[in-house]
Amino acid sequence: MGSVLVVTSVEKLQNGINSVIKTLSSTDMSTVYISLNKQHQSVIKSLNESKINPKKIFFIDCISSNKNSEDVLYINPRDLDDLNYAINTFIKQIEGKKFVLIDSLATLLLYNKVDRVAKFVKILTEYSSQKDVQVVALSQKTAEELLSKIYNFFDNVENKS
Amino acid sequence: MKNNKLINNRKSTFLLIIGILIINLIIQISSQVNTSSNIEVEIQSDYKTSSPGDEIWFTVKLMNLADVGRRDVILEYLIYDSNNEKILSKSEAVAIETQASFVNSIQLPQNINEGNYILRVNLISTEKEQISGTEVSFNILKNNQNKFLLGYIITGIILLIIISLIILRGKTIISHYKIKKQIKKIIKNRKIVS
Repeated sequence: MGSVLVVTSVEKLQNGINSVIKTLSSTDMSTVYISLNKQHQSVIKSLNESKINPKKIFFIDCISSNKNSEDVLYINPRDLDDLNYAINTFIKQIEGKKFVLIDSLATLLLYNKVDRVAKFVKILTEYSSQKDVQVVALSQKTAEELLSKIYNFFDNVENKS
Repeated sequence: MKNNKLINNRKSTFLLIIGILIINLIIQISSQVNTSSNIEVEIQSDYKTSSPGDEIWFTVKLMNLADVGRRDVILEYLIYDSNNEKILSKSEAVAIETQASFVNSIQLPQNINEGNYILRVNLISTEKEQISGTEVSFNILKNNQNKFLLGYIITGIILLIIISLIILRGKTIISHYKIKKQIKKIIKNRKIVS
């Protein structure tokens, strides 16, 4: 268990996500998927194409404007306090082992200042560490200012450029 | 000779009467002087500088009064401006003995101007004769009103901040409650499906 920051290029981002989920879906772990790049239907479609069963994935959709699914939690990406609360609540409520996947941190910079995003990451990684929950956060390598501030919050940083 | 004696006797009688009258007058005057020097008025320090509309509080002290026993007198309070024009007056009947002290107040008019004023206190007998009097000065400044206004504004701003914080905190609590409720629902539905 621990926290991992995966820094990748935009083109390789979705493949990287599918790869992470595929690895974890073979285990009995539940996933909290924070979608900041795609609507959850698009993510499910992509997962189906990669023959990954999304039944153990809980989605927090921060992109969709149409809140049309009762199976998904919709959070405004500007409300980082609400987002943190939602992740923490999922961690508390889901039984068994679980991990948190964030796709991708750099998108939060469109809606928030870099220091607020860094603070959000710090709170999330600290809480997950206390609760023994694995965190995998993906980010485009273009978000250099943010990355320089959050590197230290993660146990491991993988550069997949 | 007889006429001279008669004239001398009349002169003596006249002088005696005049002397008695003078002695009586001296006694009366000295009695009044003793009494008049024994009234004091003091405006309490907080009210030495007041604002229009304020109520000023003061103490009147009557000491070493002539030993006349218990008697009723009238205390007259007058306020004069710097041009010696009377602004307002007030009076009350009080009972005194050898010593007495009274606390009283006067409400200043709202339209009174800034400046130096005099509070005069007269001690008047029930026969309307002034026995004695004294006075004390005080100031009126409109700045005090501004201070109160500033105080109200600051209090209002603080209250507004507190209310805003309560509203913001309330919104967060409601938002978190909705999120928690939704997550519980999602997890429950997922268990039923699986």
